[in-house]
Amino acid sequence: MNSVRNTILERLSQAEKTVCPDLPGIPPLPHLAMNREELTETFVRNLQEQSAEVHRVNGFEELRSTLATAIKENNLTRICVSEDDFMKSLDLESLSNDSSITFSKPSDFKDKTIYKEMVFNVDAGLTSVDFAVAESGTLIIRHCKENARLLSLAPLIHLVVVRQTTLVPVYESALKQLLETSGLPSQLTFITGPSMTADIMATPFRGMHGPRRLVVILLDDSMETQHIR
Amino acid sequence: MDVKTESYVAEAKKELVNPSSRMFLDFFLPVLSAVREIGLSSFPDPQAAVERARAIRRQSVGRLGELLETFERNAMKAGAKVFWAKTAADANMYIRDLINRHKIPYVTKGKSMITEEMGLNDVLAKNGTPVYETDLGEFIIQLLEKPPFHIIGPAINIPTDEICRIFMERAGMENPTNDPVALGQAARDFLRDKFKHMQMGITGVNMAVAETGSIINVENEGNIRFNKSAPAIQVSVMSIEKIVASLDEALHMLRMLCRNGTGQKLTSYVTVDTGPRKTDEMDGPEELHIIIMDNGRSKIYENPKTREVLQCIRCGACINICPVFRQIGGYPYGWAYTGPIGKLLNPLLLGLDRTSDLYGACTLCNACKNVCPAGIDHPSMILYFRNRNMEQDQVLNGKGATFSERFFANTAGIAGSYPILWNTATTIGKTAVSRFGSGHPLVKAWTEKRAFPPMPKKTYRDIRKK
Repeated sequence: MNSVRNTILERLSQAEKTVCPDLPGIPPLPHLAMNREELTETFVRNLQEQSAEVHRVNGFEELRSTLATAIKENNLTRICVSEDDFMKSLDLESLSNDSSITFSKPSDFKDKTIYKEMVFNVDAGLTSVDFAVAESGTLIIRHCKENARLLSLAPLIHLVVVRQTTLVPVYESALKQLLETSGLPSQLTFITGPSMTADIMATPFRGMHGPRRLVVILLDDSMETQHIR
Repeated sequence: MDVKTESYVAEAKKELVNPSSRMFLDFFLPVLSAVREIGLSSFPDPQAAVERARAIRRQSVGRLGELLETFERNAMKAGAKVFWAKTAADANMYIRDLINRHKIPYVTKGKSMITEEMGLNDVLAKNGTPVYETDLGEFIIQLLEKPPFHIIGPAINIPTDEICRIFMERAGMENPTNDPVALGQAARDFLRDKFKHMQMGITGVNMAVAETGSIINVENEGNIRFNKSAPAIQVSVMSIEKIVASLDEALHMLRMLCRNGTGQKLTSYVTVDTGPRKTDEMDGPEELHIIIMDNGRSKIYENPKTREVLQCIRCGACINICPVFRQIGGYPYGWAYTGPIGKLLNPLLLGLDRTSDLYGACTLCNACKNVCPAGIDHPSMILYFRNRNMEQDQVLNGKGATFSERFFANTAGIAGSYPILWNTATTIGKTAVSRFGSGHPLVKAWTEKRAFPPMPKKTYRDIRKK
């Protein structure tokens, strides 16, 4: 096997060199100049264009009531939740005082097979995200123990809570922050809308394999508008 | 996948009069080209974005060996296993052996052109391992045993009653329906069951990033995410050229790939994998195998002229804009790659001799070159192939001129060498054109849509002689 590798690399390195001009400069990224409100509006508009539903809320109370409304509207009874600190701070247990709603977490299940069975059968996944990107209305999730992959994929409905302070102009801003803090995870997922296809007679519909509905609750957690770099 | 490139003309003739193909080609392709334009217009300077993408791909291919080494090192550091396959057969055997070693009962696959090139499904079928395509379009053509109609919509032209029939026969659908949404739901249910219990998922790779050892996939449906999240083993196959140097370059190429393919700023899901799952994660693959496959590409690389084809990012923009493709669709191309890029890849991977109709059927209009975000000059390479074929190039398997080409060339050569032959021929020719012009059945194909200029009584030479 090593000899296959070496043969290939040798052929490539011995071939006549192509003259490669330097890369031209990065084309303008206008989102870098937007203020917080403009970024938020752009983010919301882009995400709605890709068929997601976006609700803007101020403060935890409005967030919890909007979440409760979404749960009721969609008749959700079993919801699997991500386990990051922000999600824990939402005190979801109090929402399930109406005992028809059950919140579960992946770590409730020691056996990964049972966890998988469970997440395939819940009504919705509820997760936070690490970044929200204005340029295309994209949510970025850094998968880890606290934010499992299938939560935002297997259930028919994906509920997302996004903190406005994680909103960045372009993908590069998010990646830079990510690399400076936790580094690249085993999987980084960019989500821009629900699951879609138009493979049958060019008729578009949602929820092919992933969620049919992406419901985003955008929490304004900044004290005042800031200029974002 | 069987190679049927030699049936190009016969298939093209059928497609030209196939009403359902016509409907989709006439409607779907201009729409895709239009949404591409709209997508690109979201850049404040679309041309600058295109120039940077072209330069990135040119550099990536220029530095290919070095980038592959860096990628391998970083991928392995992150915990992935990297296997280098010289040929498609090597790659297929690696996967088959992995399946047998772990006693994997069945595999699921994301949409992957490279595995079609490899003919992976046939090899696994012979091994007794069921393979389930999970992209809706690929799933449909797999059941119907049809080739792909188009790179983005492989089954987009298939009528719903045909899909309904095959789903009831082979996908466990119980109630007949012609509603695309209901059919999609039936496919979702069938494949969801496969996702639940699968132990190995196979994907392609849209882009590999050398500086981090990451692989990136783009999709709208979510089936690739399932293949990367649900099973214990993930196998991702890339050909040697699918690589860029850095994350920043990858991000720019993602912007270009999605806009050029479907007009979206970004597809619903983009996943960047760096190694298998960490030990404390609840889901994700325990083992990530990355297969780096050559299959003739290092040979293509050795020729700086043909090397350019490796810049392709498989966006489909050239396919959608090509006037020839718009008339005949994907079926005639007879293999994994269609349209203008198919006219370049199929000849290079299969030989100029088996694919002469493909690079023969080009008007050299340059539409493909103009839209290509990877900077490939298709028409120039097509002309190069025609020349290399004539010259019976040994490396590319040129077969030389056909009998009629040689006949006409030799005849014209003889006539041109003897003035009396030439003058007789032109006099006869002039008279024939003036007398029969457009009407004659022998020349109808050329003259139906064009008119000859009026033939003068005397040629220029005659006038000068006086």
